[in-house]
Amino acid sequence: MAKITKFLEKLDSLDRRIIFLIIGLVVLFPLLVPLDLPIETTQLTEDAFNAIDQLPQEAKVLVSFEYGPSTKPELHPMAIGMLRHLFSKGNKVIVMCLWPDGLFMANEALEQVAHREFGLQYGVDYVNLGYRPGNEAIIKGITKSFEANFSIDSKGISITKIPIMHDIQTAKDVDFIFSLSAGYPGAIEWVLYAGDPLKVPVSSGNTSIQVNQLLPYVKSGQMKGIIAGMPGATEYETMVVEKIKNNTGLITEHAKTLLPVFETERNAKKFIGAQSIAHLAIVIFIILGNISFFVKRKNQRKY
Amino acid sequence: MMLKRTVCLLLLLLGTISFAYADLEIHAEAKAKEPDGSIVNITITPIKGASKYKVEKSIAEGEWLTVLTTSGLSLDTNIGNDVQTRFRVQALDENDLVIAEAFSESIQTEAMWFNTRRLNRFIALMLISGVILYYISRARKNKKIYLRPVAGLQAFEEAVGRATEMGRSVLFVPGIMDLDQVETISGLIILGHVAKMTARYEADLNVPVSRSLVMESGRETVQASYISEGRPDLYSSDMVNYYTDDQFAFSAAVDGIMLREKPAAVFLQGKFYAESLIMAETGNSIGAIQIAGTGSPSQIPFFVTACDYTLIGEEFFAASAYLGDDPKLLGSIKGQDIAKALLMLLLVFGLITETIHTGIYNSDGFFLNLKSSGNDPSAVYEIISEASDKNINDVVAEYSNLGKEGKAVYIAKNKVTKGNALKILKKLEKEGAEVVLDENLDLKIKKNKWNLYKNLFAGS
Amino acid sequence: MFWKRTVPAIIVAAVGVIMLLSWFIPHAPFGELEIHATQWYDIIASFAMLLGALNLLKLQGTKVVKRQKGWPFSLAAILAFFMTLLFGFMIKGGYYPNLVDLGHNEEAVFVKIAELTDTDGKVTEVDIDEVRILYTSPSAEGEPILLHKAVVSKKAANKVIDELNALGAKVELGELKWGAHVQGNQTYYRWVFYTFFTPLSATMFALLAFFVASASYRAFKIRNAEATVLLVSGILIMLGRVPLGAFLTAWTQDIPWLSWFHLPTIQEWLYQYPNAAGARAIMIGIGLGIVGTSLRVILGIEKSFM
Repeated sequence: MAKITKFLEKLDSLDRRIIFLIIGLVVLFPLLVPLDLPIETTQLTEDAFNAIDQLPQEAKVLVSFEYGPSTKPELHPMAIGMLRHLFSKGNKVIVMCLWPDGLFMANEALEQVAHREFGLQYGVDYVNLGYRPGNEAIIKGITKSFEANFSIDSKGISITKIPIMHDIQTAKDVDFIFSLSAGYPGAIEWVLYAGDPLKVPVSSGNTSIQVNQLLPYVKSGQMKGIIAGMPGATEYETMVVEKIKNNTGLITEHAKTLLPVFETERNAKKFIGAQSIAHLAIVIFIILGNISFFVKRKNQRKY
Repeated sequence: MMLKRTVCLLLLLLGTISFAYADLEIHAEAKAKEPDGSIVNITITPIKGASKYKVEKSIAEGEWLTVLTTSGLSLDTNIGNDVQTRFRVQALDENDLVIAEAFSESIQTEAMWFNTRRLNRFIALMLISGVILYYISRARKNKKIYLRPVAGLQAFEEAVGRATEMGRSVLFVPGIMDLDQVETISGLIILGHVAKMTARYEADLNVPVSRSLVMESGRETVQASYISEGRPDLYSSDMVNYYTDDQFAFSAAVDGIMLREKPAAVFLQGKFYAESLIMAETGNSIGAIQIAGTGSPSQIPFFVTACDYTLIGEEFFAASAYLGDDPKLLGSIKGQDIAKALLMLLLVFGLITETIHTGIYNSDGFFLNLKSSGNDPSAVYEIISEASDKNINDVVAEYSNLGKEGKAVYIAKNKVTKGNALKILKKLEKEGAEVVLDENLDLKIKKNKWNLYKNLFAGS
Repeated sequence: MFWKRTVPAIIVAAVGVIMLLSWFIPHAPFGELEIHATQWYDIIASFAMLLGALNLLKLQGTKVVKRQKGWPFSLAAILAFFMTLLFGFMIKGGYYPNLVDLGHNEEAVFVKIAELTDTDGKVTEVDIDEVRILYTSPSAEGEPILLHKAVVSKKAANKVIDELNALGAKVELGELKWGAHVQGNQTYYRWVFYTFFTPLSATMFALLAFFVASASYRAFKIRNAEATVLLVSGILIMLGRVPLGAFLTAWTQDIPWLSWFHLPTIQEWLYQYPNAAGARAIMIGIGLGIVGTSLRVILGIEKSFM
């Protein structure tokens, strides 16, 4: 008994390297042996999904990439899921980047979804306008004119020669804005400088950390739902797959043939298993820490 | 005979063309009450045989820029303010051949001198600024101002003192953003106070920064503090150093400094993102006393967990008033608090009115039934778009085909009183639309219930 | 003192008031001021980068020369600095063989292209079929052949061109323009980005997972009532946010009066109500703080940062 008490007391001042090691191991395990946990959707993700799902086929959606390699594991699966959703409905997509490294992320996502999976035509079905420095000034700028801010796209083609941009002069001409953001400039700037003044619906995919700050905008209706971190990305992926499986709403014939790909190539689902176990491990740590804290306090009171 | 027929056919063809040309019209009108100006509403009178219309605007003498090619007959577009602009429409047939052409009158738009849509924010700004200015002037007249003690701010001196006793340095990080963020400015102001303390105690100060402009500003701030404390000899420009603009590379640099130099006091004051915990946990691991302060709501929980003291939100912005001895600064903080109290009152007022409002009139209580859009549907669509808070394109799609029964126009939640509904009705009628005011069953039941409660209470 | 403090204070006050009012005046010249000011700031900040870069070299250089503690890290920083500079401004890569005409020996050319572009080291019939579809009729500007290489130098591209030309095809040398090389494929800059920057950034961000664990282990203790509320809500959110929480409490869904105890439901309620309310309160405070600080700066009460 005394040994257990001593062990529990020691636990209170556990070397953090041991915690790191255990976390490392528990995260590694589900990555090697994937867990097949059932995915339940939450309202925030459903709202974002439905807002995009209700867009008609001819709708044009502006997707802004505001994340880099550091937050790629969290945000890239959202980008893939969302692009799959949009292209499976036949929507046109205009991509732009407010972060310099966002361009690499955008190119990668478009290469995978638009080019390899859907085989879409650049300039007609989608376009990547590239990165422009200037943060929120660019958002304000495109509310007045796209051409003034993006005279050429990321490939150096003049935007007057890009068919998809022919009937888009300002951000008001797009039907939906989606910001994939990991910080500043990001979702808040899109709401403040484009969504609210132009009355264009805005939604966003964010890292879990940021959601706290964005919730007031969602609750007030300034943002149509939000995809929150890895769990949100997993939910979104699942909703896209389920939609095509159940054949509900607008789906192109080509998208139906891609269902096996969407079902198997799901990064968020792979990662969420690791996150689940990591959360559980942290909770166990907290409980152990508290037991140790109580034992220590009880023993201190004795003397 | 043959010639006669050919001539007849030619005449017929010419007649058709001239008939088509005569019919095609384009009308451009500046959108009224548009604060930024520049928005023009274009309506096209259609002709037979045209499958779409190419709309262009004049950008210079003889030069035209395509606005868009559309099958719609009404659109909004932008032009430069204060410039005479003309529009040209070309009707295209199924093979994209031009079958008719028409020009609009010259038109010019102008931006407003005051954005009336921002009037409420202007009043709020004046009110809040007015309150703050009033308290600053009161403080000038030596009225004593009490501010509640903030533990984190009281610990500043203690932290610097401890570092001096231990013979270790003080590390100050003014966030990771540039000078265009108020949080960075606030961080630099606090740096000025901390630098005064390190000058007094003769402690080493190390300020890693992630922006070149912040480096320059930081050096000026620290130098001014050392001079004001009469210790310019202790100041060196090497106290403030730039590492990198990149968020995580910078946090790696700061972690490296912490692990190598083991500072005894760490100040994290400014705008932070996800790197906050990476820095704060490393600081914690070396046993430094840590005081954080930030205006980034999502990083506050991390700082609270890993640091000894955290200045939350407005405490961070008020730090300079606490640490300095200028009564004007204290006055501004007092003003801020009064403004906050006013906002709280406003919130409670809003809460009560909203509760009563939704209690009687629920969100889709009153609605308008649009039976016909009249001769000028574009103006009607715009009014509906504004009233129902919907995108104009959605409105056009929804209401371009009204059935026999008409279609319901639901007014956005905060405009649903009967008076407001009637106002919108009148606006729509003015544009030639046929509209009827209606209220739904749910509302009628609620109203009855409300009356029932009222009678019950009156009876008792 | 006049030039160092008073003049800047006057400029700050004047610009501050103009910028504040311009938000309410859409008319020219005020309407566009905000956009211009932001762009001016970006331009000035870009020039200031030079100061930062020089400072970085001086700081790290001194550490290497004086062999101070951790000097090898400083050496790595200097080398990385010059390497990126070199690949950004001097050497770009990004060359590619541009197929203009297939010539008479089409099949052999297809097989060769399949070998050159293949990603898994095994050329199959499917790979050759793909190449056949892509390169059967090259456009007038030619069809770029994206070699399976991280970076394609001029020499490497010429070698491939010679091989293909030997098979009877007409292949020319293509290259990405300066500027476009930052965004394009198979350039040295891209190689640096994906080989060094991406894994290093991801590693730093991933550290958060470990630090969250150690910080919560240390901080989440039942010391008093507030700490208990923090701990309980923290655990509920942590478990409810991931599918594991739903999995563990799935059984509650079968019992009507217990259905509220489903972890994702509790998590979402905590997230959307108490949490959003707290976030709003803090944000209002921050907003007022920003107004107050800006006013103090504009009025010149606060000028210690200048």
